[in-house]
Amino acid sequence: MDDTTDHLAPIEAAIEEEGLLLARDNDDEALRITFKSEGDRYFVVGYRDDPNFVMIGSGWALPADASIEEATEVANTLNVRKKFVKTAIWEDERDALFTVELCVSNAEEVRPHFGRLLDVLRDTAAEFFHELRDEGEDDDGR
Amino acid sequence: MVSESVSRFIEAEGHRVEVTALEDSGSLAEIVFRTRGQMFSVAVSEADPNRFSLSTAYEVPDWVRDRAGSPTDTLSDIEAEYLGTRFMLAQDGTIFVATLEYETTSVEEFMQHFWKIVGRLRDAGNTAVERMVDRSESKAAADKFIREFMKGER
Repeated sequence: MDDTTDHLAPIEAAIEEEGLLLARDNDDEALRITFKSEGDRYFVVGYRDDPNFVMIGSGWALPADASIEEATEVANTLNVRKKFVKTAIWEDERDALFTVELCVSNAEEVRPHFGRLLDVLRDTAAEFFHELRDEGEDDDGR
Repeated sequence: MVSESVSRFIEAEGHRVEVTALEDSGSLAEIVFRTRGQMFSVAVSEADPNRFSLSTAYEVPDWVRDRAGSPTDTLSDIEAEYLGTRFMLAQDGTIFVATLEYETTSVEEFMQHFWKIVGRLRDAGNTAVERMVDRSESKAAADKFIREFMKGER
């Protein structure tokens, strides 16, 4: 790996400043960092041919009893309302993905805001599953 | 050992930990970690393996100290609202330490509820800071009104 193209290094530093442990999984095309916070898994992805793009995210399995339609409805509501975070439903895998996608001159720009971005990712996922449960209960007439 | 079990658990959850023995005997230990921008410590005793003490510290804003006098009343109110949480002013009142004592049947049970306990302590601490600030603001407004009133301008 060519270290000169490791443009995610400032984000790695931000993760360490948060007191978190991390792992690297880089290849010729992409730079990937994975880490956990309070037991939940997160990832950071960047592409060697597009150093201005940075994505931070987390992925969760949908509950077995949740319908894709309801999940999509909740995701749409959150996409209208939430700052920074995009919520997407990956239908084939029955996963919900929460991502923050940024255009930066240098990933160092993300560093001072990393804690906030992690907070919004965590809060959005919590809100998503809370609202999904509420939707399910409404449908059951509970 | 209890300290090893707890520190391994916190590490497995993704957090770097520092473990410090608090006694020469090695019976008491403090495990320090950081989450959501805040340092927490878990005090454990090998002699009393089912008791845990979780602590975190908050700064008392300068202007709160100057205007509201002692924030002890606020901390007492929050202690009543968050049962099991204790607050202690430290370093000449510049900070307060929030502590939650947790007694359980096993280390595993403590770890099962670990992040909820951390969240509860964080809520109590944040509420205390918010309440101190609110009281200071309302007290400052009341003081201002009283001063003006005494001058006969109202």
